[in-house]
Amino acid sequence: MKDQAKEGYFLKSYDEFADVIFRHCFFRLSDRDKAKDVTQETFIRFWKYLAEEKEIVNQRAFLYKIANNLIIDEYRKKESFSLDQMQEEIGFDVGVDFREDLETKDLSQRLVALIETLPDKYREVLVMRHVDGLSVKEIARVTGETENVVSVRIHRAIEKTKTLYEKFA
Amino acid sequence: MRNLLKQFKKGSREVRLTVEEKSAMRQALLQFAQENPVAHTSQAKNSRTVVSPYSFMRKARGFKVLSATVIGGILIGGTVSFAAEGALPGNVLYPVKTGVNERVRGVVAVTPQAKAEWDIALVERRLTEMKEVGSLESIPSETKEFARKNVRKYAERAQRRIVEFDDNDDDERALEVAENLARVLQTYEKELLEDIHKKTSEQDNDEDKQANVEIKKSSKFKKETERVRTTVSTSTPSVKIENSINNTEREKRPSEDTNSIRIKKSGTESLEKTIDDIREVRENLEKRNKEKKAEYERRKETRKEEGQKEEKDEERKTYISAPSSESER
Repeated sequence: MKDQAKEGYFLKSYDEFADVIFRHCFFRLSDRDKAKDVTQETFIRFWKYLAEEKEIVNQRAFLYKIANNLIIDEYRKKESFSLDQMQEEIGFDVGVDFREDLETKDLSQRLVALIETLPDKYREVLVMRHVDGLSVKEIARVTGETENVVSVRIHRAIEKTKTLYEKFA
Repeated sequence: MRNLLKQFKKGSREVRLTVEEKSAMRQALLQFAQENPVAHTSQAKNSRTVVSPYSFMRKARGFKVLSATVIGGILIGGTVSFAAEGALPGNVLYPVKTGVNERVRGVVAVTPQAKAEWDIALVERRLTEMKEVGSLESIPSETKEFARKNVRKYAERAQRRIVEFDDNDDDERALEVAENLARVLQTYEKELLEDIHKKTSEQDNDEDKQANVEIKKSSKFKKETERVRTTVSTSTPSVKIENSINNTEREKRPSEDTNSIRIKKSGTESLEKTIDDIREVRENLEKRNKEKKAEYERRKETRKEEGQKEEKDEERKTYISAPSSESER
């Protein structure tokens, strides 16, 4: 591929996938600014990969894979903060109850708030399956797990969402 | 739940980049792509230097004494660890077997699956030791108890591995490991039971022989006492009664003695306890496997149904979209 053609391909990929990658990042990180940063970084890495002339089999799954790795890096950064530090510096309150949110927002927004409380391994697959519309096979490729593990995880994620919903709705 | 998921999808669609955000990011990315063209990136990649993992060997070339010591150490260590492989609990080399040999082999198992297999192999090793130690009368009961506790400990470790797989949602592997562990426990349960039967039957034979000798002795004694009694009984009736009581007591004695011998001699208590332990673990595993299999089948069916539904939806979409594209033309 020539340089210009490669640039064209890159921009086309951006136009097609920017929103979905951003949405995925948003649901995983629950922070709009961080989601924007990760989306941009995802496409920078995608360009670097293209520039090295490496082969890409499934473009969509590949972009999700990059984003997923960056999100994991973000989580690691997050873990280095202590709770006291967070309370002091950014006024983060551990005792925030999402039930308050559930009462004020409409059902779909409430569900989004509910999903934010799920453990990340469940949130990850639930968002990929039901927000991004990835197949089990694609999710398996992104997460590096087997298809069976992914389908079990989706099943458990739905069960957990259901119990949480019944508990608080 | 489907309704809930639909609502969730609907809510999620509202999350997107604004037009300004999207175009600003596009601009930034285009600038980055132009500043970092193809050639530049590949040059940067080639400029990296890679340090050989064997570079330390070059530095150690002068230390001949050191290498001789290392080789000597390896040889001695190797011989000790080889000798330790057959060690049983209570043996001097047993800590080398569990603390060095098995730990080294455990480190070699990298993947979770290999680790689980190695844990099952360890349970098998502990059971073999228990089998050997349990059948030897010369081994003190504390050592047998130690071997029994070891079996429990390693079985618990293997079970923890199953829980780890389960937590990781890898129910396929959890089931496989649980089935393998249950199979190993069942095999050894049978073998240990056979050992106990064999041992008790051997002891019964010994006891029978001993009892025969005692009966012979007692019958001789009986004849003599009978003779004395008949001579005495004619003179005093109270002595007769006393004698008859003594006789009945003596008849009882041999059977009581054999019972006490059985308790002292058998020494199979630790084996019996081990069987109880592993039976409990095995039954729990089998119960768990049954439940998990049923759950697995249920999920498989729902997945199948979902797949069929998705296929139908896609077919319907293509059917709807086809005429409209023609009309556009």
